[in-house]
Amino acid sequence: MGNSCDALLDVRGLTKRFPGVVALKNVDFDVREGEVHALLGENGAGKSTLIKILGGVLQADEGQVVFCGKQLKGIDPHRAQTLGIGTIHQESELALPLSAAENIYMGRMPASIKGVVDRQRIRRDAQQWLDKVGARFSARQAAFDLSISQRRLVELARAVSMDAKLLIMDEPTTVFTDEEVDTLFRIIGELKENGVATIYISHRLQEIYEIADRVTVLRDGEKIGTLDASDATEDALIKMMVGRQLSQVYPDREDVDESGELLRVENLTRRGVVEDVSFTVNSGEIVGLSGLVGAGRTSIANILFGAMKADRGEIYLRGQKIRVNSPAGAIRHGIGYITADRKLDGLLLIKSIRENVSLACLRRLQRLSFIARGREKQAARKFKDILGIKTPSIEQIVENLSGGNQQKVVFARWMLAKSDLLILDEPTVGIDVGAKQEIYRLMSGIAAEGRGILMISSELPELLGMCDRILVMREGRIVHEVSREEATQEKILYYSAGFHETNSGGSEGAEE
Amino acid sequence: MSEDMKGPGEQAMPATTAKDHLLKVGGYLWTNQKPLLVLILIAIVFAFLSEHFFTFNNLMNVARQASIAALLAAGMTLVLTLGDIDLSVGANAGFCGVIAAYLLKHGVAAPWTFMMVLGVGGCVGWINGFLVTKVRIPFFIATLATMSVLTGAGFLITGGYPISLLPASWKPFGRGLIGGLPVPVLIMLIVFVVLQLMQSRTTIGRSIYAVGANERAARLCGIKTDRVRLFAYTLCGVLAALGGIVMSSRLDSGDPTVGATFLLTLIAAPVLGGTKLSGGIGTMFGTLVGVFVLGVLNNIMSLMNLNSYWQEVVRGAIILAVVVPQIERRRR
Repeated sequence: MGNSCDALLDVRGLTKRFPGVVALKNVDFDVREGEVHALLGENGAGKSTLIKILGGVLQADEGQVVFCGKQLKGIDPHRAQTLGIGTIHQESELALPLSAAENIYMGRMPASIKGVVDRQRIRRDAQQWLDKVGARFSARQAAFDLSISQRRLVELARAVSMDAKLLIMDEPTTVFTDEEVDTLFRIIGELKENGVATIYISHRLQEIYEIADRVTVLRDGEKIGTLDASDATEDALIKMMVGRQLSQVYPDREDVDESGELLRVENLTRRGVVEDVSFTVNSGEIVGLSGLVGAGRTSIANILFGAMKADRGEIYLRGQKIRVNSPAGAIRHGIGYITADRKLDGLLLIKSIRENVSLACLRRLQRLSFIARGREKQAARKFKDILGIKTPSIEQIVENLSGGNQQKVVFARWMLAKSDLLILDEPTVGIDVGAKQEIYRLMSGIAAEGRGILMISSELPELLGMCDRILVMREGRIVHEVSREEATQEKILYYSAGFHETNSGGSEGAEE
Repeated sequence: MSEDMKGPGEQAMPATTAKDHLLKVGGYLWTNQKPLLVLILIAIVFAFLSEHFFTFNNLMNVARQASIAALLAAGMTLVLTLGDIDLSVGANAGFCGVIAAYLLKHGVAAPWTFMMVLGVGGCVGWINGFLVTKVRIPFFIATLATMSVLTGAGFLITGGYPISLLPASWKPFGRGLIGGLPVPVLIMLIVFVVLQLMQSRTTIGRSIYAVGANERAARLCGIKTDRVRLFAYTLCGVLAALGGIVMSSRLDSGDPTVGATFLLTLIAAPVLGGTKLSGGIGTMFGTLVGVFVLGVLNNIMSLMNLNSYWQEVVRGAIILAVVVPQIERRRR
């Protein structure tokens, strides 16, 4: 074991820009030999960008990375691995048809005679690595047949087998059972004794207390600070993660007219995704759905819209029980849905604004199955003007519009459809501040007309600025509900990160 | 606004008058379909070089020959616009021709035969659609399999030989004249006008585009995407049957081998006419242009007495030049 370097990894002034966003701003960061260093931050804080640069997936624009005394520059993932940086990504990157053994030795298969792979040896060695990381399955099994958590173990075995000096784990435990988490922590402990360092990303704060030596908090691409885990209080960490100013981008909203219940959901369940969820949305109300990615928020949206089936539960619209089996059915009931990824499942990118706007109400625009083209054009022009879509013609192809204008086209579609209940999933993702502000005003206007909005967002300031009530989800359940007046970022984060589960001493911990 | 904003805007403009349509096609060709434009120019040059090309008989011959390919290509265009490919179109046409000949030989009257064969073609198309939407077999595999089944079945019915010498009542579909114009050409024109209207004006036409452009988005806008697919495949089958009927009448026989020879043309013609293999874009009018350009090139090669093997080579080269670049773009 070499004690050559105190700081195994030393990152100085790292900056990474994407079109329209600075993902990392002048970040300094270091990892010592044999240390478990936790990276903490909200969605979009820059954690993934940082580890992707370290793993050679992305290249930094500025700054330097020194690993074990050597400067890393322009490396690719393969080079990073050979240098001793192993990454276990959030999403499995295995070749599914190949066996666990082949995946472990991918790209460096030992050959017996020139060019012929020594399968026996691969299997034997791979099995040893698998056993070492606590995997109880054969190295011969195809990755295809392995469960998600077993696949993670294969990746772990691969990283360990490569003699990595630094392991990077991006939320490794999200799919693990408690027992598997214990095994993982034991392995991290063993590696640590051998001088292997780990960068550990997790939203489960209690895990960080369990294994981390130090914690670094990122926010909006900047490093906020590094603390010894033993000194870091929950309050301090949460403050560091969210401490942002609420700017005046949000329109003033009138108080809700508490008269009418628009939507009531009772005991909605889809096994393993959504558990026993009940809530209401009133007319004129904007209700926020908060929680970490994977908490089940989008699944609720999909179920309400008929794009996903529920195992159990009832949906009432204006007191009437409804069954939604398809998006077409949901639209007929007056529900609209703006998905999180407008390019993937929102827009017809290669089609015109007109064709995109009218798509959800062709039925209403048709006469004897012919589309009333005059009315279609008129409607498209009207909403282009109302929403201020900046383009000369409604015949413009949507692909050529900016992100903000594209999102307005989607809004126009559901405004034309006159949806009573609008479900918005990350309505402002990837659009600039000015367009965001316009989208917020639109939402406020929709609510003022007495319609209801259910808004999913990972941006806490946006939820606090727009919503009358916020429901906090965690692992498929609604764990907390706060009104506009009581809501704080700390409180929401406290519940979505699951602090209330560990703090037996009451749920007031985050308030001071 | 400025000049450069006008270009893309105009492309997407729906045709309101014939002039608009021509302008649109012209502008579209210049920006997106330079190969087609080049082919048209080549065709014009060689057409003037040949003394036989601009004779009434020759031109009618070109139109008559193109009409069968055009009917099949129309159906193919519907499926291509969905983002799929129906490899069985040609085989279906051949099979339908055989069924027609078989029925006629067994004394079924021509009108009944006509209706029944359209039904058979529609069923084949529906089965393709069913395999793709409900059984969830990839379109390539599903239609490849039906192609094989249909070709085999055709041989089984005929015993390997064409069923020839059909009754005179079958003659009009392929060889008849109405007002001096060949019946197949008239059928083709009517079909294309109806389909072009369907594509650009009706809800189902718009739905086909939407599914091809982004199936998930279309479904989330309340479009029953499986139904749209079934419809397009079924209509494609009916058009294949119509093509088969005209073909059997023209050849005066039900020949199981002729259908398969169409496949390459059926993909090349729509693509030449601007249909995107990735779906969501394409017009019937464009396909008609594509079919005729290929037809004229074939005719010119024959008039020039070009060896038929060389003709094959030229056809393949054209497709390489036109279709392949598009596949590259699709990966973007």
